[in-house]
Amino acid sequence: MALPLNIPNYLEVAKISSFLAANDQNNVAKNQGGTIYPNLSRLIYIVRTAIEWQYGIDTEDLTLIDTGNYLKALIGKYASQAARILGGGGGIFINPPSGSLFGIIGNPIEFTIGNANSPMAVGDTTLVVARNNPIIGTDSVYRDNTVVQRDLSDRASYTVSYTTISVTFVFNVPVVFGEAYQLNFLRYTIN
Amino acid sequence: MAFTGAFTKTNDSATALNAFILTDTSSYAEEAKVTFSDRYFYLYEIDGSTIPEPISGLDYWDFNYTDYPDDTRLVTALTEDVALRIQMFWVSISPQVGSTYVKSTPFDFLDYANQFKYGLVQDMAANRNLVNNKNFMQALDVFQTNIDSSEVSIDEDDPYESQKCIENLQFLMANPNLFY
Repeated sequence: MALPLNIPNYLEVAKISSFLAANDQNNVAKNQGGTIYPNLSRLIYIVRTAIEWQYGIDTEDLTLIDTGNYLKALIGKYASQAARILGGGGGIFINPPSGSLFGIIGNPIEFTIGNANSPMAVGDTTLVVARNNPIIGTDSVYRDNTVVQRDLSDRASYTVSYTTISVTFVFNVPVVFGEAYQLNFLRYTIN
Repeated sequence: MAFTGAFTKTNDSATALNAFILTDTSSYAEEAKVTFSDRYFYLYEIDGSTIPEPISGLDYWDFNYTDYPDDTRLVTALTEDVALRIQMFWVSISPQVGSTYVKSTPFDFLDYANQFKYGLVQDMAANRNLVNNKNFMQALDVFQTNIDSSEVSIDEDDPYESQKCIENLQFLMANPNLFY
């Protein structure tokens, strides 16, 4: 049975709310000589991490209804502001010459060699990722949770090249069955 | 290129509190699995003692390639929170110069403390006046600080300090009157 609350959403909003509450407390303390509840930020943090732990064990645990609602009550007035911050993810910029809006978004690609949906097969060394407007120099690669170095010849590493429509990763060692990869780069979203 | 032994630990609290899965994440591109005769690991507590494998009673935990072909092993032997150093060995039948066949990493296990903390949060959700109880809030703050400090200590490769924090947590859990 699914819970009637969106706990992951609450947890994300709570993370931002914790900082908003800390900032608010600081302002109130500084400008008005004190605040009604000085430990709200800390309390949100403690409750949020407790719920995060329980949710990690059982996403359908019914006790999460009470504790989730309690967290929501603690977040209170910060919830809407936190949701706006989350929704804006990456921010929006205006390109002065054209007046067009653009944003920057992350672009993580994850796969395990040998899985049906893997874009690379065992023994491959090259992967072309078709994405418009990648940002040069923002790439990183992880293999089995370990950083893969770039442009080195004395160890397993990769080289990368960018065009306006794609990013090409070339590994100096063929990929092996069972390896888990995460490839990252940023790109512009132009409106 | 050389072989470098590597592994990760993933909590599996849904199976049991403090249960975890060790996964061998080494790349066998340069030295294939057939060039290894065995693989095993130790769970060291901070005093140097080991947590033995419960079935065999041996100090080390067998992780051989035949019985664990998917390179994962579930460990469910921890009955309380503890800071450990896990040391894994890869036994090569043809050791290569430059390869690393031992890997040692500290970890902390805090599920019992986290379970206790979640219980406190349930109490707070049920009785919202608890936040006005200074005693409760101060004890909760100390509890959380010890959880966080334990994790920071592990990040700093210091399981000894982590274990000290865990012992503080265990004291608080054994004396719940400190909260109420």
